[in-house]
Amino acid sequence: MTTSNVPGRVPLRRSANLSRRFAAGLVLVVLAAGGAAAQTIPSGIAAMGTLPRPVPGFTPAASPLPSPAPTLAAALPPAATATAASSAPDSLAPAAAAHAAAAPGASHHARLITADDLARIGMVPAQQQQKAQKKQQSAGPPQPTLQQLGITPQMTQANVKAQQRLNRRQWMLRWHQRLGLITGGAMFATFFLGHSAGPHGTPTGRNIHVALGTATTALYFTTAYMALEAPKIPGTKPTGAVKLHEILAWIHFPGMILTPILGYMAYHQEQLGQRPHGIAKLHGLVATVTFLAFATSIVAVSWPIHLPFHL
Amino acid sequence: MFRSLARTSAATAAAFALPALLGAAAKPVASHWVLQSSALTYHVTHPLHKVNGVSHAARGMGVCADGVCRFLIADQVNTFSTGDSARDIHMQQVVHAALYPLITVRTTVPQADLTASQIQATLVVHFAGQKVTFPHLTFALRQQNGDIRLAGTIPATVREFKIKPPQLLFMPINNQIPITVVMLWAPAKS
Repeated sequence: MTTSNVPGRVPLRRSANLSRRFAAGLVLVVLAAGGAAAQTIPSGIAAMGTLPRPVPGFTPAASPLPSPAPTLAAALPPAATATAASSAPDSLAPAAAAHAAAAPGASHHARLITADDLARIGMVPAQQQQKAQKKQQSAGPPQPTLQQLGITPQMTQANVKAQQRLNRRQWMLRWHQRLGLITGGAMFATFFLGHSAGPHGTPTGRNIHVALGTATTALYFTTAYMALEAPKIPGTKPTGAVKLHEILAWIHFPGMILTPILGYMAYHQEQLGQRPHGIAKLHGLVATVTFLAFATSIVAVSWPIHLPFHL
Repeated sequence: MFRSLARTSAATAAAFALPALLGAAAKPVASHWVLQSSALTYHVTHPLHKVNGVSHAARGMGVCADGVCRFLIADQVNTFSTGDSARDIHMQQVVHAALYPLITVRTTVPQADLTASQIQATLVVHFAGQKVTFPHLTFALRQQNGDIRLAGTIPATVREFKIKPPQLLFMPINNQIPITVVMLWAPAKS
């Protein structure tokens, strides 16, 4: 009677074969367990908090943990990060799961990262987070559109020429403003030195007044040119401070034409040794009105002025 | 038997009446909203000036479904007025209004929040060719005969929108240009 004949027993050769297969299988299982252990994250490492390095494929979500708490990102070795990245979605990677099943002995030393682990420490895989965001965005009603508000494509269309016009207008008005302030200064100096050019003045004082007056006139008309030639914006009417600014121009603009003419006449009469007479006598009065209108115009366009200090 | 029949009918009546009463108390939020009126005001501060520009021409709508409401508000840049036409045109030039004539604001809020007295919303603002997100802004809500009055401030800055700050007397305006928002939303009649 051979063992082969005994029910429930295997023949000796077959048994030896089986033993060899079992040993080989055991080696494979041990190797697999080693591999699985290498590709899993030892649970103790997370507590150690070593190897601070970013984890590709993961983004930290709003974590309830305080910042000094060790994070998984700081604990992952490179091999584990690769596994984690490849198995980033919801469940374990099938291969890793097979390894874990094949190595029961290793399971209490090391285990795989699960989505729960990540969620627990406030880290959500990037893909999962994106999915959640997309889900949140797709949930609910569709986005209202501009068409639903009655806004036509024409209303949203860019108009390059109109912008160029605005830019040119602003460039010219900026220079209008700067030159206007310089003109105001020059006008004040001319006005102030006007006394030294009168009947009781000196020839030097008269010449300085003439030079300043000429410069003021040139500056004034350059300033005016910048305002008059600035492109107009269709459909806009002057309102606010600029309205008074423009009204006052009807006073100082003719004044700035008259004043130099009258000044020239007065100067000529003085050169002839005569006291200014006739219409030339009005040079001082016209200049005063012009200066006041111009100064008011500067203040008006800047009104209301809020001083940064209390008087 | 008559007494038990009376008890049963009372219970049935209560069973029907209770949801109706609860529903009346909860006041279901409308699914479509329309912006009835609004005042959007930007505030510019300069060392010598304080300027407020207001627009009443904003258009807006809100759509609610599955407990979520999406709102869109749009306004044309050239409808903002400071009362000074020169200043308004200057503003339009600075913010490139001819290239980007529209300001749009989008937000998504939970539908249940519309019945609260305060609401936190993250606004996505498209303005001057830039998209800026203002997270978790708080707005006050007040119910007015079924309408909702919303008020709050958007803490906008010149730098966020990459606007070159305009100058007066070589002094630029402050970076902060807060926008005060007052809106009246009404349920859409369809």
